[in-house]
Amino acid sequence: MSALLASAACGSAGADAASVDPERVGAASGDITWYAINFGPEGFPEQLVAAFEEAHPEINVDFQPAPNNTDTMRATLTTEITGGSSAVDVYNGDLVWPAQFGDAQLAMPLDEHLPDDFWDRYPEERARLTEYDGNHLAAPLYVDSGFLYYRKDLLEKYDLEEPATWQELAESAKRLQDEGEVDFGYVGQWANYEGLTVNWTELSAAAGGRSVSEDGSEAAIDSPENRAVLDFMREMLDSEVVPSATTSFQEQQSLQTFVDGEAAFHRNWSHGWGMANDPLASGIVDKVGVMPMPGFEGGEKKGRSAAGGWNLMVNPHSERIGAVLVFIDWMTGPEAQRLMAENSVLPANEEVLHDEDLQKDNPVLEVAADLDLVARPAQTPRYPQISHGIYTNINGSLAGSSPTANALRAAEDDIRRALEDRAL
Amino acid sequence: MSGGRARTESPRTEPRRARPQESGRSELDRKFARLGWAFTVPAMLVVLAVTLFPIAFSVAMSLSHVTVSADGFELSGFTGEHYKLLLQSDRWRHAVVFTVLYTIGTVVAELVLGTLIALVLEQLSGGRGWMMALLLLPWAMITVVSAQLWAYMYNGVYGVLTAMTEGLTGTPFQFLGTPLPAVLSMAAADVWKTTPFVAIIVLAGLMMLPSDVVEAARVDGAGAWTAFWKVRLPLLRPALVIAVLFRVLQAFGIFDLPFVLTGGGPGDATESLALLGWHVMFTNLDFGPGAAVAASTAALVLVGCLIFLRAFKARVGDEETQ
Repeated sequence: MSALLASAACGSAGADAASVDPERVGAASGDITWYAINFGPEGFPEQLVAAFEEAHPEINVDFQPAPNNTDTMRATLTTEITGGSSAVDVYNGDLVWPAQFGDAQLAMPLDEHLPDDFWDRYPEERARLTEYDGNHLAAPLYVDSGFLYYRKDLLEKYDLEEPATWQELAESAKRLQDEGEVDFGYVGQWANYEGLTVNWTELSAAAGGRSVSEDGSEAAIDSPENRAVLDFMREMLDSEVVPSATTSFQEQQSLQTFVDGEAAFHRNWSHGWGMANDPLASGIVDKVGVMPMPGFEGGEKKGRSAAGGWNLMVNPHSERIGAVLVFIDWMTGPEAQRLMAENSVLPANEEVLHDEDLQKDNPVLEVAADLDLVARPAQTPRYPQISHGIYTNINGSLAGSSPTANALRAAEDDIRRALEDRAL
Repeated sequence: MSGGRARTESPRTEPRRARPQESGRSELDRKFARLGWAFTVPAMLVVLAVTLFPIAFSVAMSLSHVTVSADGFELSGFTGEHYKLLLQSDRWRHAVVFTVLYTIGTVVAELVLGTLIALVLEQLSGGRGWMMALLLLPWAMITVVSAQLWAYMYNGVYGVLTAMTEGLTGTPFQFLGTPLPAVLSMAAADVWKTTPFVAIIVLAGLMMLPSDVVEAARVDGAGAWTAFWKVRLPLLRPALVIAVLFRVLQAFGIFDLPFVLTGGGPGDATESLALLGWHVMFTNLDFGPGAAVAASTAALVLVGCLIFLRAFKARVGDEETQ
């Protein structure tokens, strides 16, 4: 965390206008295309576009929904942009994309076009996660983080506290299972995919471990802290606090299990709150509490939530950069960000994130404003390969194919190869 | 009896009758030939552009230093480095082993089941058309869609198959949660989908068999089993070879099932070569090594098919053109 905070003060120059010739970016009007995976409630991106067009009638935005899979979207964008297409002007990019996209020139560096104080609207560490090679490659659009959802009604009934550590969580979960209240104690995302890297990063950070060294140069996953974490995860499976099906669970399956009332504790992103309290989808409406991720016995006192969310990125081939910059400025400004907060999308804009009136209506927002975040090691263009090295080996070990020590050694090797710039 | 035989022969004789006329070429024939070429050249150019060019480009890419940028791919200079990486990589070797075993396993299962189904269908007098239409449903369904259906049935908590195993044994069985069951569950989904294809090809082969040969075998005292095993099955060989070739080519490139069902997991238990290639190319954006994975897949399946053809000495080409 301190490393994140130390990297500050790039907004001090305080220029109030972009130092770029308007002719080079084109007129701030015309038609632009925005490509994104749907987010927020049904029809929300269209609602944002309508509000934007009202504020800027000189610009028309065509919203194009992307396939609902981050990897598929990346493949599509890579094909389009390397092929020289300007069909998409601006797109939503995953939090972990900037280094890879910057390296492959799939996104346009923004510093040349945006004033230095533009970045002041974000929490410092969030803005820093969009940097690669000294440049901002993306503008944060909305944020997300890991939350622990729990059955408030059951904890009250048995006089159990909100768990301060994962070990307490496992204990309370076991108790509720033994009492016959729930089938499962805890469900998260432990399938063989990026989501497991997220879950792993949170647990590992809580125990004081990490997967890649702080300066990003070395593999650090094979450590005593991480061995304790993986042992703990396997123990949760062995004692059936976590159902064995969890090794094939992504967000959707685990959330479904929780809202069906089958699990006592559940880790998910912010949208878990809305679904758990939706009478049409959930059997546990008004029985749910939300809190930050717990700490780990012998590790950190306070848990850490993984940073997630999406940024706006610009196609380097766009011929409407002037209009795109206006769009980015508005979408990350107070009006659009408030609209997001009111629709259960966590705002990236610091001022809106900390707005107490908005927090009153949305407990997730209140928790979110005061979280200790941990970032995945995405500062290198080889992050996808590093993440694969993490989730495949952890998932294999959880599924019983290799013991803790072997899995972490294999993950260490995979990460080292990635950092040595070897593709396989 | 002889009616069946006449049916199989009539297409054979027609092209042969046509050939002698071609040899004595008139001016008109040549004009038609030129016209024919003129009509087919554009289509052939399209085929060249959309199949041969990408294949050649992939191979070139797998042998070059590749840089990706906003302006596309830049190939600069020859290198064997990508293939060296492949050969040193446990992940690639694992994908090869998995893909080969998976292909052999599923194709054998499909061949046996498909042949049995075809034998049953052959005996049906009424309703065969309906049965075939029904059978073809899984085959006609897009794999990504049917894979989602299977994922739903296999789901560890609310899947119907999981619930059934829980009802039968008391504990829910995890189809996708551990390596071996995940491989077998995926294979089952594959066999369900592609067995009908094999059945229909084999059925077509059965219909074409000269029934007098079987009759002669019966007269000579062969039982139903001997007649099938010693007479009909050998005669079926061309149809079986075609079915196997088609299936091997498809099974070896399997992508959609693991992509939807398991993401290659648990661990790397179900990571096929195609999935590996996709990961390296489109997730890691390593286009050189990714192209090498793709080229190695194509080379392996090509060699495999050639060996298979040679082993069975089937003159598929002859049978095809008759």
